[in-house]
Amino acid sequence: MGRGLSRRDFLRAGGGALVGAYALGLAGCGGEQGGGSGGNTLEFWAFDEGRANLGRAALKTDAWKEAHGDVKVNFRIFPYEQMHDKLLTSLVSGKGAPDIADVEISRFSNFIKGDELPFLDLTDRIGGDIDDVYKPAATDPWTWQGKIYGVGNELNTCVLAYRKDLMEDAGVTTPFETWDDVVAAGQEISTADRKMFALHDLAFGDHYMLSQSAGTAYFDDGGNYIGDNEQSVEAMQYLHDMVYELDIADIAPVVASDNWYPPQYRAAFKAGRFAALFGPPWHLSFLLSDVPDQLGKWTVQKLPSGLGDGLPTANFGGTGQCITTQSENADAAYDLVRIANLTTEGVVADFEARTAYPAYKPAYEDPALQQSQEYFGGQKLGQIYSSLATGLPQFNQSPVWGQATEALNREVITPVMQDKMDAQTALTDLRATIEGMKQG
Amino acid sequence: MVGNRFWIRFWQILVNALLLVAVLLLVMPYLYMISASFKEGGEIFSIPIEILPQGLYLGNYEILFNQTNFARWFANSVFVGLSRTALAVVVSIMAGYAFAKFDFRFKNALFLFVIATLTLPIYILIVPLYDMMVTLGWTDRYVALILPFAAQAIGVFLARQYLLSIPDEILDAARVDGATEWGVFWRVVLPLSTPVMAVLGILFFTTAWNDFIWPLVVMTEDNKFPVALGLPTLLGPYSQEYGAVMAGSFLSTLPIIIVFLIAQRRFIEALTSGAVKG
Amino acid sequence: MANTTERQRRGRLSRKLRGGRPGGRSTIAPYLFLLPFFLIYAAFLIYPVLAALRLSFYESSGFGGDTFTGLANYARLAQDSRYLEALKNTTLYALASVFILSPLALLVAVAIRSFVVPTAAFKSFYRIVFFLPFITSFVVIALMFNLVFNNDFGLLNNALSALGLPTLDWLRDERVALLAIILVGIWTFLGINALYFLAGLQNIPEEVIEAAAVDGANRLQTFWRVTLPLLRPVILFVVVQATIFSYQIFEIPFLLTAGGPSDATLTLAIYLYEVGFREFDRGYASAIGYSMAIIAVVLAAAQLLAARRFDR
Repeated sequence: MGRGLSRRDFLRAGGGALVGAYALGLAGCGGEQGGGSGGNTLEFWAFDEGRANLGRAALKTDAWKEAHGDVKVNFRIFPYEQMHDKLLTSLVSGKGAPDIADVEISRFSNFIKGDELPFLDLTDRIGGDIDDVYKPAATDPWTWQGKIYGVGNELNTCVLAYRKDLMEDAGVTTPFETWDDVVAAGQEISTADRKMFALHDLAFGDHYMLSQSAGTAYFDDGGNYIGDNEQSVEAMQYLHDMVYELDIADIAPVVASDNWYPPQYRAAFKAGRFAALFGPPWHLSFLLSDVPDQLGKWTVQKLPSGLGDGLPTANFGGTGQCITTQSENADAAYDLVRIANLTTEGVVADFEARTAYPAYKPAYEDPALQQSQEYFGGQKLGQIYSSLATGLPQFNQSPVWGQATEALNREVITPVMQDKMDAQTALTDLRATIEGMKQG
Repeated sequence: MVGNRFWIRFWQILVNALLLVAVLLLVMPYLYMISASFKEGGEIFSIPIEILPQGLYLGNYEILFNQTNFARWFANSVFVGLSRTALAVVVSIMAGYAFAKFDFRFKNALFLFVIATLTLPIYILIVPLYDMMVTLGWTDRYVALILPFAAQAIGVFLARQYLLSIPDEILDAARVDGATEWGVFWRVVLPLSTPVMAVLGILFFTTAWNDFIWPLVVMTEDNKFPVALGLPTLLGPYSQEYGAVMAGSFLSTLPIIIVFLIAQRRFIEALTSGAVKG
Repeated sequence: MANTTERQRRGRLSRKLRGGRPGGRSTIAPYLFLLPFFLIYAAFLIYPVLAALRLSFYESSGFGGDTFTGLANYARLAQDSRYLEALKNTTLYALASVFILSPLALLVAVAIRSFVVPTAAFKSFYRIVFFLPFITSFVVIALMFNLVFNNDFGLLNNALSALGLPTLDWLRDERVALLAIILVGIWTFLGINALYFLAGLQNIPEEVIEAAAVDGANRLQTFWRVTLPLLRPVILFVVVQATIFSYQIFEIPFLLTAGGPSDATLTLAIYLYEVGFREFDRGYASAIGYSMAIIAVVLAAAQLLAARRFDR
């Protein structure tokens, strides 16, 4: 009765599993239910272990222990893309959301659609501390209609970085004053296998940075689209020309699902295929981790002038901590946020853990942030970044930021950088798309 | 007769050659994944691409087991996968049998309804389904991963299609012999359904194992994550552990292969033991 | 022949007892067999299905309230160029599933089962290998195929240039990106569909095939006139589920090309995800979802009806 046995075995196993499932389910193996948690536990959702550690470090400070030593904090890590989906689901359904959540700048726009925002207004709680931060990096991205809903800890001042050794070998004078100087250098050192820049055709970051440097933004402070003005078009056309006319850049080796600096991009730098880049500190960090053999050969400087208004720096990226309206212990939650982001102790701990340059001004007096970086030939990056930070342009959020930038990718960046459309047409056409988007 | 043997050989060689090419194409990514799991950091994406690892680097496995909750995730996936599969197979065969071998009112309407619900994409069902879980108090509990998906329309559909081909006479013979309807099902239909049970078992187990979006929404505690949800947490924008993800992905295909082998073997046994012919 | 007569006699006898219909005597039995399935289904699917349906008639975006708008969301679909692009792409993918993937899967199943593959061990080996893609996680598939399709050092382009053929920018060129996705789809789902056919083939008794051979049919004729007709229920199943699931294809294009470049591989499911979770317009997303369901139901019903007419 071979088959009889197999069938019975199967069913027995199935029955057993079912009973087991029920037993476990009913035995209340579940965690806490309901939004936030009771008074003594905080739920913290993040998508990155390093950023969760920022929170964990705050828990070790005396300030925290004295005020909330009895509060337990649960750190939950979810995959980056989807953490925001999960957050959205729980906020919409009114239950199950955490106390604190890391919200990335590009996904924040979803949460400001509509009248009843799911995050707490932190403006009053921040109070006077606001003068101690570089606002464009620390609070602008999480500000809507004058109210601050989140605090970030990553100074995202964009700089130009380049291989100083290659420039010296080619007899090029550095640092670069204008973009024309950069182009001239690029043409000197560019070969079939090597170019100055890796420019993205699947992500809008390059244009985002250059257009800010040119003096403009995507949205004004009323949330209206202004991205088709002269400076923006100039920046976009320039990016195109660097690849197709001036021959000093190639399309970055990225993939759609990881479109900024995936492993292939890093491998290309390691193989010496690109000699320069412009970006924020978090982007440059990949050089230290993935391209260690080029230690000492790189240098950073402010962004060159020559494009539009020629501002020396721009914003790019960032993640902030927000407190949801489902939190039952907003005071403890805010204290965690404050200690992590708005105290020297907290931000220096983050810097030491993952080299995240803080947006909190007083921290720059700490010796940790005054060290020279061997990788960049001994430059003191802390000083460079903090001096540039005062020149950061304001960042204006919009409830359609996420969709608008995705439309920007689709309808402008990809066609223009693939040489299928010119910048003026693309950016002007985009206006119609963006104005058709719902504001919530 | 000589010509015949030649043609047999010819076709055997040709078709096997084609199949082997297909095998190579199908297996290459899988092999690459295994190879990548033994590579260190940047080696996975080096330029130029290298197929074999430099040495057998075990660091990824070490990270996987020491620094992540992989072992726990794996156990969760096995538990949820088996439970959900067992339940779903039984439920599907029963329902498929009803549709295949009985006439009753609303039969066609119900069947069409079942198929129709297959066509709804899951993303529009997620928020309301999550609401239900919250109301039932089932968030962050295994039962939320098992019970709602124990009714698989695809299973009913496949079971029905398969059971249609069981000759009515056999069933009637059993009835004439005095069996109850349940007896007919238990003693005649089920033994004959081993092939479709195997296929359903494989299908359901694989789907349960790879399920990502539902566990993401409904589970919060890392200890309860299935593997499909746990592994991508290692690929964030600030830190990426591709090696560990490859290692974990490779290990997580093993249970499915085991289920596959068992299911395969069982239903071949059943067929060759004369069940169908007898 | 004695057995056949016995069985025939039993059949006739029981048909008399049953009044000519299978299961005629017990009319509650079918419902009892259906009960477990429908209990679970009703409990966990009906509410979400109806909630989503209701939402599709509302303007529900952001964190504001919902406003009733009747069929406005559905009307918007017809004007939405991104929706229409997604519809086109998804339909092309579905057509490839039905007309390329399914026949290929049948061919593979027949080949594996036939004399052409010598031993049982070989057959087992092929079965496992063909099954591997289906069990590989989508994250790995995306990583793998990013490498395979890579412009400079990808496998595919290297193979093409070795054969003297022009190389293509598979994932970045909007003219071929969809083809790339279709190829990955075929790679992923060939095995499981072949498995369905194998199960069906294994259910055809040897005697039937032998009887056809005895009657003088060669292998091709046997296949065409005997095997295929007997496989009809399974063929129908494979085609219908291929259609239904093709319309929901999500992870492969999402992870490989994010629906791009410039919407060249935007599928309905990706568009739905973007509208629901990125644009946060839940009412419209529900409408998109239901439109997908309606299309798939119509196609499936058409296929089932055509099959029934064919059987008669």
